[in-house]
Amino acid sequence: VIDDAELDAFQAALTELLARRLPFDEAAAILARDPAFDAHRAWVRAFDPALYRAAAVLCATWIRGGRAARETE
Amino acid sequence: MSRTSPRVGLNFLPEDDFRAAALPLFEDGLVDALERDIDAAWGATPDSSARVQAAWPDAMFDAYAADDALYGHGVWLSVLSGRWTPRQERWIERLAEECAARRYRHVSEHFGWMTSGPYWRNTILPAPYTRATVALGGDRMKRLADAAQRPVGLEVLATALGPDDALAQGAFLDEILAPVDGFLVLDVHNVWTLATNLRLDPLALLERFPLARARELHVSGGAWLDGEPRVRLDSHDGEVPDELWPLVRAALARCPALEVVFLERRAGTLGDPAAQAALRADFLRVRAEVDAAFAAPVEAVA
Repeated sequence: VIDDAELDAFQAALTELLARRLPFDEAAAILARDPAFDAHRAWVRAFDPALYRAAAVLCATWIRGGRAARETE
Repeated sequence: MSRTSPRVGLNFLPEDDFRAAALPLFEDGLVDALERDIDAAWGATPDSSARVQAAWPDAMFDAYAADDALYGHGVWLSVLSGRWTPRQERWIERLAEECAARRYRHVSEHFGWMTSGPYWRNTILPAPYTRATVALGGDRMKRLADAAQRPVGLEVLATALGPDDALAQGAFLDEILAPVDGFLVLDVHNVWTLATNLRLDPLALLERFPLARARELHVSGGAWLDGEPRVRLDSHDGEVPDELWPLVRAALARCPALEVVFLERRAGTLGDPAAQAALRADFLRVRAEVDAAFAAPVEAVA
């Protein structure tokens, strides 16, 4: 099995950021400086504000597990 | 010469509103094929444990399976997650059991990921296109193919975070699908959603996908998320928009290996008679578009 711990951590950090539903300017600042996003910095810098907002809405709706389990389940 | 016309079918839902909407189509013998959410019984649980499902659809599934016209479509595997979890391992085991028990023509899943860290479920999101994610996707597709023991494929993802998630998605999909000779589920509404949200030309974007791999085509509607700018969502909760039909025609003309076309709609959105009639009208329109596309000589539609 291929397990990519770095990608998993990146995906979890992105999930948690989206679930916070921050205004895009605040989210973009975190994406630009948080070491959790170092591995794919160029990709996250290309995020579109409107698409980020939509993904955050969907994420907040669908997320289950982790901290979200205590907040939404 | 003419191409073989694909089947036209429905994404099957066990809910009463779908049954009320679709029953006249079944009674008239118009539904050639069924797409079943193959992991509906175990996918939406934190540990892939089985939930009780309505038994009455089994006769439908068996009837279509007997005609080799039952197609499996998974939702919950999370193909591009960095970590392979016990939940996913159990999902694969259950898929193998289901495919051994019932005849499916092929099995597909979704491009993207939703499981990460402690989060087992999420909306399906794009992943960065790198050598590592291609290798990861190839590994997951091999597991899917080994479990299904029949052709496997991936559906185009409607959710993007940036332009590359749309523009490079076709190449990314092709690289993941190639090692298992997998097929593309070309969801036309997803392509249109990507193009609309990123202000791209829909036809030009369509042509960036590996259309020679497309065996299955999806047609659906969606909704708009208000805001400035508004954003199109692939929510399957509305009628097929008028703007989609030209792209459906273009897809039908450009996919040489197309085998089946499914109209999709979400359960719980067909409660009133008008919505039920609209689903039937959309289905008949899909059928008419397929008939028109495949009645014409291939040179005329290329």
